[in-house]
Amino acid sequence: MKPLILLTGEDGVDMRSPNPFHFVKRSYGNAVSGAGGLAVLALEPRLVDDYVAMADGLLLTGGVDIHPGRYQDVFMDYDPNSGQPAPYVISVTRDSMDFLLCKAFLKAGKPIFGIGRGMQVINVVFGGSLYQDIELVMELDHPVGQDHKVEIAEDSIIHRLYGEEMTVNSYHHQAIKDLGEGLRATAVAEDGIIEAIEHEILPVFGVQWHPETYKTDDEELYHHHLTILEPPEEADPVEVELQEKAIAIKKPVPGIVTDADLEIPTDNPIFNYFLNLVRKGGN
Amino acid sequence: MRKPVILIMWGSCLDNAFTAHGQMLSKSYVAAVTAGGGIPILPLVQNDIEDYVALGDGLILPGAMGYVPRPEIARSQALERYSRQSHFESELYHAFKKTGKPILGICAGCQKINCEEGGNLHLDFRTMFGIEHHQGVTHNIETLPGSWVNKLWGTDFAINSYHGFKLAKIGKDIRITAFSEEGIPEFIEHQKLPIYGAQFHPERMRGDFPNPPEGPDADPLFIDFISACRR
Repeated sequence: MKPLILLTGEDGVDMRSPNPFHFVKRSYGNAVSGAGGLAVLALEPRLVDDYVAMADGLLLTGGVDIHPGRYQDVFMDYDPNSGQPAPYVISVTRDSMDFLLCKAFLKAGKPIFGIGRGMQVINVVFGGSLYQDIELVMELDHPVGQDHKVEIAEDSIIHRLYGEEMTVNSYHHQAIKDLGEGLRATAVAEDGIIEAIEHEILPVFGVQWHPETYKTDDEELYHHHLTILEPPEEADPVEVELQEKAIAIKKPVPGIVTDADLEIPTDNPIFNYFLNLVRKGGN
Repeated sequence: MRKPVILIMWGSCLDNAFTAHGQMLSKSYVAAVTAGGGIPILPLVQNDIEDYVALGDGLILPGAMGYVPRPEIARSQALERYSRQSHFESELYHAFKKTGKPILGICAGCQKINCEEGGNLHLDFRTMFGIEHHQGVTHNIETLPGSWVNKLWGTDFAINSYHGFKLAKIGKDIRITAFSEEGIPEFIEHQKLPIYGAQFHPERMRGDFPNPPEGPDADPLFIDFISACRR
C-alpha cells in the first residue's frame, strides 16, 4: 500500500453560483504521486481525527493569506500609503482546516510538508509571525512570477537536496517575520526573505517557493495567461462542436489530452525526500 | 468501527493564483457525506485509481461543477479540462464497479452511470419537449413500490431540479424507479449491483436551508448509502 498523503485545498466561492467549494491545483497531487504517495484532498474540518488516523503525511498547499489574528496582528485591509482598500484575500474556514490538521499531525508525530502559504501555516502554528506584505511593509522588491537565488544553510534538508545555492520560483506577497519556536531558516533570498524552514527535532519542514510547479506546464500557463488580454483565437468551430458534444454525452474526446497521457515527474527531490520521511514514519 | 471512506469525484476548475488546472468539489456534498457518517475524500491522480478504489468503501459521482477565476480565459482550456474529467470519471467508475462496492450518482453523475452502462441522453429536452427542469425549479416525482427511493421517502414528494440533459435510452440492468409527471427519469437503481442515481440534488435537500423547503429531508439517503458502504 502506498503512503497516504493528505492535501489541504483552497476554499472557493464563485460569484455566479451559491455553493462554496474546495479546490486544489493538480500539480500538487501529481508531484505526490510521482514520489510514490497516494494523494487525497481533505474536505471536512470536523473529521480531522479521522483524517489523521488514516493518513501517513500532511501536505499543506499554497493559497490565500492567513488571518493575521492567528499571529496576534491586525488585518491590514488597506494600503497604508494610499489609504485604498488592499486586495488581500483571507479565508478563515481554510485557516481552520489547515491549523487543525497541522496541530493534529504534529501531535501524532506524522510528517508535515508546507509549500507557500503552507510553510507560513507551520511558522504560525509554532508561534511565529508574518509580514503582511513584502512591498508595503518590508519595502522590498520581490516580484511575483520572477525566479531568484537563495542561499542555503549547511546541515539542512534543503542543503542535502540542492547544495549551497539554488534558483527558485516566487509567487508570494507575504513573508516570515519572527520564526516559530523550534524552527530555523534553512534558505534565505538575497534580500533577506526567509525561503525555507525546518524544525530542529520534528519531521516538519516547508518552502516558500513552489517546487510542485517549478518548470512545469503550470508555470508556462501562468506566464501565458498573464499576457492574455483578448480571448484567444477560437479553434475550428465544427471540430469544437463535435468535441463539446462528445463531452456532453460523457464520452472521452478522441485526440484530446487526458490524465492517462500525462507523464508524471518522478525526480522531484523535495517530494521524494518527503515521501521517504513518511515511509520511515517520521524521524 | 472505522467510518466508511467515501470517494467523491471532482469537477474541473482553474486555480486562482496560477490559472493552472485544478480539481473542485462543492461543500454541500461534503456536509451530506459527513452527516451520513462517512469520511469524504477527493481522489486526485488518474494513475493511482486502483489504489483509490482499494481505499474507498463507497463512491459518489457528483453533479457538474466548474470554476474559472478569469472569465476571459474560460474557453481556451475548457475542452481539455472536461475531457480529462470525463476520462478520469469513466475509469474510476468501472474500477469501482468491479469491486461491487456501492456507487451513488447525482445529477450529471446519474447521467454518467447511465451512459457508462450503455444508455444515452437527450441533450436539449427543454426546447425539444418544452419541459423546464433547470435553474432549480421545484416539482414532484412519483416512485415505484419496492424501490430504494420509495422506501426512503414514499410515493410522491417534491425535489429540486437543475438539469439541462435527461436520460434517453436506459443502460443495461438499470431500472428507472422514479419519474416526474412528464415522464422524465428522476431516479435509477441497478438491478444487480448497489448502484444508484438521482437526477435531482439530494445533497441540497438537507441541513438548515433545505432545497426545496417542502421536500423530504435527504439525510436518510446518505445514512442508508453510507451504512451500505460499511465492510
